[in-house]
Amino acid sequence: MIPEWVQDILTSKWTWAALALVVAYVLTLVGIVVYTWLERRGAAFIQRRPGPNRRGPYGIVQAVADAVKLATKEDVVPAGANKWLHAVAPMIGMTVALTIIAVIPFSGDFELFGQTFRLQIADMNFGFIFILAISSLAVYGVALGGWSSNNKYSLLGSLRSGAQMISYEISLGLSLVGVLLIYNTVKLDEMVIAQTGAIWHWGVVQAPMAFLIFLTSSYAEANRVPFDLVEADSELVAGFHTEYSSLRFGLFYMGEYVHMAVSAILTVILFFGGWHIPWAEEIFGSAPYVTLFPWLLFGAALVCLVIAWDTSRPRRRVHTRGNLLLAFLLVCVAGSAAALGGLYLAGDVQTEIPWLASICGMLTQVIVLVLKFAFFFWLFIWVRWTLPRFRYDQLMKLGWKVMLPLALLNIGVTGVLVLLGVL
Amino acid sequence: MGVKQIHRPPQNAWERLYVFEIARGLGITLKHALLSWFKPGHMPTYEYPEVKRPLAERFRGRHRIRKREDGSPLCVACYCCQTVCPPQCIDITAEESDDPAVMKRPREFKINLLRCIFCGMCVEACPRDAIYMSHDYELADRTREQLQLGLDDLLENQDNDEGEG
Repeated sequence: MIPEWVQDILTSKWTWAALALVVAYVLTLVGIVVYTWLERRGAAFIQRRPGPNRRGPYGIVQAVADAVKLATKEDVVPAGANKWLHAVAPMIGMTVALTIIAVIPFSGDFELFGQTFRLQIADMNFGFIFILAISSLAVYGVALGGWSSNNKYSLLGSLRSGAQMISYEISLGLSLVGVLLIYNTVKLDEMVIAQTGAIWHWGVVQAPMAFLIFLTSSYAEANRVPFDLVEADSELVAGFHTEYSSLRFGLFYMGEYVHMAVSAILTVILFFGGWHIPWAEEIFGSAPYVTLFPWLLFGAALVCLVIAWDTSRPRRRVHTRGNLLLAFLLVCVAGSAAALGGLYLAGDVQTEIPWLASICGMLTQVIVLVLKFAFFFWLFIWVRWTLPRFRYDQLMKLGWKVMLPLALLNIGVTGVLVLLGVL
Repeated sequence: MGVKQIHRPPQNAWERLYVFEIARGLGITLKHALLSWFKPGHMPTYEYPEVKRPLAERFRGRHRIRKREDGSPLCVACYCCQTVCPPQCIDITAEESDDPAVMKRPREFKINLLRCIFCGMCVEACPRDAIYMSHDYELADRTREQLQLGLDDLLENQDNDEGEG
């Protein structure tokens, strides 16, 4: 029914690895545009002020203005700096954060012409350990950046960061040992499969303590408030990136967001069932995500229409241009999404074109994952504007005297419960 | 050197767990975020260039000089403001007036706004209530010369605001 070459493309593992790469890049690099906007407007709303609301509808184009500003600034290398390391340090931070995403599965297995595929860049059988190994390299970017700047404040910031990241690395690793005991695998996709079904199969219900420790440590790993001692604007100017300007600063900045994005995805994969909807099989039948796909399209169409209505209101158009263009585009998207959903249902794709249906099911899973991910990314921002920064001794006390013993205790308790067959 | 002891309120066991208190804090910030989103009109901020804060009646903006009925300046060039001006930003040159009822009038009346500290003492000193400070506070300009006010600048836009009265 379909040409040979199309089938060849569809059954090539490179096609799906490339698609996984696209998803990964959209979530990390392209997403930064949305994340910076979300951070700035989220901060503003929590502080009861409007925030950047001038460039584009809802101020969404502000991130582009920020990027242009950064790119056109002078790239200063301070006197006495180690030029080579000064240039390399931001790249290390970014590379490390981006590398982790290679092992993250964005969807479950789906079948095409009798072959099984998964949306994952690199399907390693030690995926989990790879993450731990790579993420501990992130400290090099910060430490070298601070040291090579030939600035005391930068050095102080990077020293703090070194101590902090090493301390929290331990509780992060140990909290994951508990998870490892429960799922009995180091492959991330198998971990997600273990969380299928009822909501109490989710890692957060099975190992709540591990979840809390993991979440806290991942905030410390990403150098976010309340653990942003590395930057500590009020004490260290800007910490390790004081002496960075222009695109090198931008690279550090982007690295931080990529790190947050990766942490958020990992939280979803490990503790919140990845791409699973709880009780999906019970409610929607044997192939729940394939069944859900058209309804997802209808839902997306509805959301687009609501945004289009909101953005075209006179109140939203006071300060910004392009609202009506956005509304028009959104209406177009909504229309085509609804039309596609209708075609999908009318054409009975699920029984007539099984390969298309399984791709659609995969897309549904990706979208479910992204929605959960969005919540945890917002949590990063939300926490940042809620909690004050820890003092250095408080940080170390929390890391070594609270988190580490708790993580060890968690391993013991989880081990006993697993042996007793409770988990 | 005295050491100030800060006594922090004692925390009970529930608060020392932090987790629930953090959740409570997150609830508070979320409440504010949602309020800002759904009721933007209730924000305590002004969308500045379009919406301006209401000014106090006695607000001291850039100076103006009142005019007589015939449009000539009310100023009699007595040099009181120039004398009292703390940063000495006023520079008056007097000349004889055509009006037999008035002795002098200013030929030049220069105010260096870059020097001015907007203290309002010139207004206090003026015996004829000729100089006053308007509500005009958007004073940025591109060159220094544009911020040296002359007599014409001080006499224009009289109708826009009443000033101190």
